[in-house]
Amino acid sequence: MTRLSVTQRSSRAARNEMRVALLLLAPACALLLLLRIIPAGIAIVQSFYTSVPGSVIPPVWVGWQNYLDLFSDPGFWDSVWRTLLFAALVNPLTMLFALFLAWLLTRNMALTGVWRTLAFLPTALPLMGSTVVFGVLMRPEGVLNNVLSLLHLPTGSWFTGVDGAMTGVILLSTWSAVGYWMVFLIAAINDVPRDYYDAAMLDGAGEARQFFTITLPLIQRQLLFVLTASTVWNFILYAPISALTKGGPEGSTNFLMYDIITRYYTLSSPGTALAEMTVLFVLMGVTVWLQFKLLRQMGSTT
Amino acid sequence: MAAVQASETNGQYHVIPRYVPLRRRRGRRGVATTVALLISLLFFLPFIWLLASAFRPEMQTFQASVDIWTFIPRTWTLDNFRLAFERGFANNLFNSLWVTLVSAVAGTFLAVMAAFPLAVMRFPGRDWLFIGVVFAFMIPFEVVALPMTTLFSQMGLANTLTALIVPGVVHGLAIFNLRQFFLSIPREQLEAGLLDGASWWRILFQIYLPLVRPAVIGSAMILAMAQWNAWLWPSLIITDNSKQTGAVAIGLQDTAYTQNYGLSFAEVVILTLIPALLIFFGQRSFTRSLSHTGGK
Repeated sequence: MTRLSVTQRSSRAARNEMRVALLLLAPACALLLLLRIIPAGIAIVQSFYTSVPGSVIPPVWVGWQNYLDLFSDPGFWDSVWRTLLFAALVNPLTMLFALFLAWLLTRNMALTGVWRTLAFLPTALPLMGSTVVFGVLMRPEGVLNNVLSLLHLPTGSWFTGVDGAMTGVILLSTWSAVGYWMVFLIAAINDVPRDYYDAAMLDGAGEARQFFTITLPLIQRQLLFVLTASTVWNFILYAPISALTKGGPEGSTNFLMYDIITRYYTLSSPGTALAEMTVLFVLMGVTVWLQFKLLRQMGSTT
Repeated sequence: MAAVQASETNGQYHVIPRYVPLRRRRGRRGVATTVALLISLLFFLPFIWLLASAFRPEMQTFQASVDIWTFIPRTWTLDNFRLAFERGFANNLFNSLWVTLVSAVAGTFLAVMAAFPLAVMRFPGRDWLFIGVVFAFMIPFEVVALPMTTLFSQMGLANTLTALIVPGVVHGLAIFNLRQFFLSIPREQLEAGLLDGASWWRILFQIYLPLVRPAVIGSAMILAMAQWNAWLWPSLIITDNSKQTGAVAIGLQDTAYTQNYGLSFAEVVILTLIPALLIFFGQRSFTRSLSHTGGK
């Protein structure tokens, strides 16, 4: 019946529909151009020039030289490696924890709303706020180490040690973001029709089987979307690095985003910085693109 | 999926749950609640400590060991807050509020306008446009921010709140969330409206918008949180502290180890108060507002 009414509509109505649609989309498209496409274009073009910031000497075209400089710099590859390691550790940790919490807090228990609110609460802190809090909590003489020694657990030199710094940033990022993504996943789990669970219980499926055969397949689209958003968010993590570790110790937290800003301002080589930014841009584009591809595939199989 | 078939062949939805002794079910409920309580403490204790540290003299920030006084100030003081307001933090707070509010309102409007045609209307190239819009806006502005600092400065926007608002009015998640909600509304609503000869504007604002109110709240929250937390862009484009947002201003007095922690804690508490209240009263509706995301 939907078909019929659509074919009945005249071509004038279709033209009108298109005109209104484009009108509604115009602001978003203008901003798309202004805030993403043009800046990305400028960044890519400028990555082929070398310039001295704040001077009157005009930028000079150098071709691929900035990229060659970048690729021959071991510091850059170290930064890429550190960024990927961080992403490979922090995102699965955040997702598994968020998924576990979402699952737990949709079970039958007392005061669900209170637990959800408490887990969501870190969202209220700006990232710089949690950075200040964790920076002091995790100092060598800070509360965390005191608690650990009270429990007879090994203490760590968090933001001041080579291994501790990465761990510290991972904990900080996870703590800040888990509650936020949890709320998305709770919403997804709530969307799963109750009947499915009732039917599974009738079949004698336990909690674990219900989770793996019903919940997980039915929320995988949202899960993937949240995973991408989290990945993208962690790729540009900047405030904690800038405030706590400055990329150190020994470059152990010198992630790409921080390295880019350092090259641009501290090392005054905008060309190389923008070449590196293009690399990060491509890295992120590939991440989001892969996710879209996976979503498509899921769409066709289910 | 066998489970679903079972319920269909039965043809009855009145299902008797698997027999589990009452005592065991109660026990499970107890275990789940305890685990939830313990995990919540992980999130909550740093807040308690933050609050305590904001209300105690800076000298007492560090203690030799952990006891009850870690989470309750030995001596109560408002000095940290007094200092924060003396150095003009109220101004930074106001900047944050203004930037967040304007971005959330304008951004939600924009997201509705973009999501509606992408979900409901039919025109050539729609799917490509959808992928383009969400794809591009999933990549954060920060990634392309560096060349924009020059451009914004040339336009005379450095040290203005406008420079902070403009990049924050679009967010891929906000548009995506709204679009999924629009998709979940049965097309009969639209057909009826079109048959009545309603214009597209009336269909959007009078039929669809009231139905997606939860998603509108959700998108506004997503936009607001992104702006409230923004750090890199404001720190690049704003150099005048009186125009700076709260989130950046907290860290600004940071000069390695001479930092006054008490002051920082007080500022963090001030900055957290409003969103924390919103979360206390709005967690439930925010959760609800995200249902239907990607749902089909």
